[in-house]
Amino acid sequence: MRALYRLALRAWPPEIRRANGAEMEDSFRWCVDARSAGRVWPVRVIACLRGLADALWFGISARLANRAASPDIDRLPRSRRSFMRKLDFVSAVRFMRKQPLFAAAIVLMLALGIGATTALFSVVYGVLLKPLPFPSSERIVQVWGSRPDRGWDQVSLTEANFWDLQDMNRTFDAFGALHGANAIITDGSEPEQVNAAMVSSGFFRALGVQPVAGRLFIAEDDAAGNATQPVLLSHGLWVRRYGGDRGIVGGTIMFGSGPRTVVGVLPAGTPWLDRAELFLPMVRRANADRGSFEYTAIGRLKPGASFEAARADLQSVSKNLERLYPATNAGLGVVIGPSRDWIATDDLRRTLWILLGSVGLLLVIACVNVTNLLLSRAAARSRESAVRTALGASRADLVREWLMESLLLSVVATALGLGLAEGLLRVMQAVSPGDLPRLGEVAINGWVFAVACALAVCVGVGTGLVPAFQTPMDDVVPVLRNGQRGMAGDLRQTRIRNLFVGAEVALSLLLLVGAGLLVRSLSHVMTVDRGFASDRRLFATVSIPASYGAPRRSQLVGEILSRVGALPEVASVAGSSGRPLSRGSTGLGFVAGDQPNTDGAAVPWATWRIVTKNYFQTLGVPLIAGRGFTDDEEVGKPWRTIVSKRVADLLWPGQNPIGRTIVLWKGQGDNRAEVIGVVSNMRERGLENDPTLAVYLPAGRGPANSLQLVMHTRVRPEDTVPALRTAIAGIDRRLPVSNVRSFDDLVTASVATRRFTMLLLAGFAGLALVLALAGVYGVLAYSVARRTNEIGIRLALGAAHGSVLRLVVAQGLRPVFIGLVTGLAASLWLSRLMTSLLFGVTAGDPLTYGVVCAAVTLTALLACYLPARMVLRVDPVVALRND
Amino acid sequence: MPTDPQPIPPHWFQILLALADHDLHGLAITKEVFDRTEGQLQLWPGMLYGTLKKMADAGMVSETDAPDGFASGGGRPRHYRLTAHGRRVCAAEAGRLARIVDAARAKRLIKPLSGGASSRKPRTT
Repeated sequence: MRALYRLALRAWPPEIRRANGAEMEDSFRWCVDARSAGRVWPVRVIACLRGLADALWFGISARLANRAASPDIDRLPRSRRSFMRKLDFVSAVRFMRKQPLFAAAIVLMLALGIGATTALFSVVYGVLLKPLPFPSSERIVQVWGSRPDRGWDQVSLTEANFWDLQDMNRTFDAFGALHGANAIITDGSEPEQVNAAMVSSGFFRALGVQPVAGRLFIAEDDAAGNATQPVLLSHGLWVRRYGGDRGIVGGTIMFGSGPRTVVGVLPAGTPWLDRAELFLPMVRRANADRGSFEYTAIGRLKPGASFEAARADLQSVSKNLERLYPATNAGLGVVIGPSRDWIATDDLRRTLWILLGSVGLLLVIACVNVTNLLLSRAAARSRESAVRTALGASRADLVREWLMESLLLSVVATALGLGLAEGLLRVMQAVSPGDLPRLGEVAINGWVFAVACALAVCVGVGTGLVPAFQTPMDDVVPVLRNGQRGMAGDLRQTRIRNLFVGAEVALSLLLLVGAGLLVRSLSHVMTVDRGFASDRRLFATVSIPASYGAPRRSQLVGEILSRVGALPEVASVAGSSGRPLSRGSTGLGFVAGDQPNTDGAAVPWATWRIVTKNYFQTLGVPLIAGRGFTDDEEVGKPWRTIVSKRVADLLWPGQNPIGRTIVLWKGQGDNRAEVIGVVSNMRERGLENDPTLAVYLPAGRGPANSLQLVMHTRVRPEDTVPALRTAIAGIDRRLPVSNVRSFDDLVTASVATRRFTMLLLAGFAGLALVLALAGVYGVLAYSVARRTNEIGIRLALGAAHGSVLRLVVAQGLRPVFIGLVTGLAASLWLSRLMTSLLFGVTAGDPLTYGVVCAAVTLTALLACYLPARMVLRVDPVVALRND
Repeated sequence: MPTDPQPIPPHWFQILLALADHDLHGLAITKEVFDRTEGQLQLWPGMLYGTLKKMADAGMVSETDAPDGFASGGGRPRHYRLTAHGRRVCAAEAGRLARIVDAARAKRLIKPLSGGASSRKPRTT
């Protein structure tokens, strides 16, 4: 930034700069600090830009004031001064009207660049930078448990530990926990299963939210035996199901488990407030559980309490708990994390910054193109400038006129770009993968507008200055005499233009390589061995009300499986306790039964699922060894399990695992189970993750509250849905069927973010290539037009058309090749940043680089050939006569 | 009685005011104006030095060397001193503003002065 400021100071008259430069730098730094102390970094960036603009503006003014000999507008009377500014403006507008195509091309290019940059910035702002919707959110922290000896660095808290931490801490104003739950609303025509959560009364107090209507939970709601049975509605459910009617507060809603009173409605917001559709109180039980890590806890620090103080406080509480409950709490610690991590994961941050960087490159390419166009115009107008110089115009006058023109263009482009950005945002929101947090709330706000305006000024000044300083000042005589500029100036201009073309090619190559790597990654993800078949597979959740007794539930499960299995559309059906590719899975620690006792050592962690007999067959997962489950086997009666191949390889490498004993829930239940089968690996946690370590337990005829049905269908899975709903409604009308998705859908959704990123980057790269090629074309076309004369002479002296054509094409390709080499080097260096987004390819993937280089070369050849063809139409006689 | 100088822009007035009782260098002017206006007026260096240059050309301020023993990060920066003409311009502007404030007071837009004439004395800091 200092270097940039020093550069801006070059605008000042040297004597002032020499006398005050150091002091001005100090002042600049002080002013920026004064503006931005303790604020988010964009404030600082804008303050810096403001300071730079100030230095440039007053520097140029001071320089103008120094030119006593020139008609200095700052010394002219006010009316005269504004008249001259108006004159500049009028001439800029006149230029746009005189050459509408030229102006439109420039405006369009800039608008694309500015629009895309603005849209991406608004996403980055909305998703990453915008503060959370909670007051003083920097005081909110999330609290996890940890158990270093087992390698758990962040686990949820247990029920009892949460209450203990709440009671014993000294640094928190409010402390609350959330636990996922399901609820079935039974008033209305069809029972509806909604996503619910149990929260303690401190939860919303910790967030600091105010209810839209009614009240939040109060401490009495945590108490056991409370008769009111209160419930809080999320904003979404309130609007969707109850039409935003405030009268619902105080009313009752029927649930599968009985009626409950609505005590309040929550505001909308991300995160947490949209985590569930309704919130139930988390009742404090006397025999709260200490073994199961299921409670998400947050806390609001007391004013003035530091993060470190809170950490130390909770750690001392947790040490106390270790002493009090050695059996369950030994080795358990507490860690806390700031609330700013709630929205974006590291990967998402990186993805968005990479996209913003790419779109910035696109804008640079557009600017370079526009500068090139303006340069060619400067050349065409060199005679006019020379005449004006000869009549006494100073360089400042010419520069001002150029800047007025380019600023006008960039302002028009920004206006158009903001419209484009709005459209692009809509498109992004429409095709968004859905797991980009807060994308729906993203809009063009004041911040985004400010950035767009800053872009407009930078782009306007940047694109205008180069041609402005290329106008001849010193050697006007040859220009006036020949109607052309001097040879030296021409050569310098050609160099600048070639430099620009090289830069454009290099930058677009960079984007193309990035896009290419992502395309290759996606194709690898889609073709990776998943371990399961997803075509013609359908998932559905059937919830069975908790009020049904265990025998009735288990009978229902059997009935559902047999009825659905009997449908003509269904080839095979199975039930399981969880579906693949879903978030949040159940886990357990395991060791081999014959392994020497290693208490306290880290144990491997596996996903567990309770599945019915046909599960593996329905999902197309081959049984590698042993046998499958039967209908008569149930969890723990006796303990039998099927494990995935990775588990078997981990515990008994190279040996037969069938009949061996595995200890499940190591350290918690220590259940010894017999391995009866091995199935092949599945990528259950996502196609990009390694195949999961998985342990399967038999469902048998055991009762289940919520049944994940998976069907292998004979027809398109979507066509099975009506029959499925009818069949289940035929068993019991009060069983809601929810979450019906085809497996292919789930797979597509799991890679949606990757696809989205790839599409965006590919779009930017494509645009960049088009712009760069337009640049190549423009420069060569201009050069051929200027050299018609020379070409005419060559032809007249007997050169063949073909050889002249080759000469011209070679001349056009030279900067392209320089750009290619530079771009390749830059890509190799920069693509390392993308490593975490890649799958199955390295950042230096030769195939990607090869294809991209070939594509750029071929298209550049075409872009050179088209203008070069004009050579063939040159008639030497006409060319020479025209001089 | 000589005719009053023409009105001057607010930031000119603030700079003259800052120099009224002691010589200052650029950053010190910025800081004083920033503090006095409670951050309302921030003199970015370009504006400050541009204005100082114009003021020097108009004979309102003169450059002086830094006082002995003065040192800052940037060496010995130039100090600026109010000239007699500058003082006249500043006083005229202050008088003009005071008349406006009196008019506002007469229309009861702001509270009348409580302490009588004594508080009218120019405040020296």
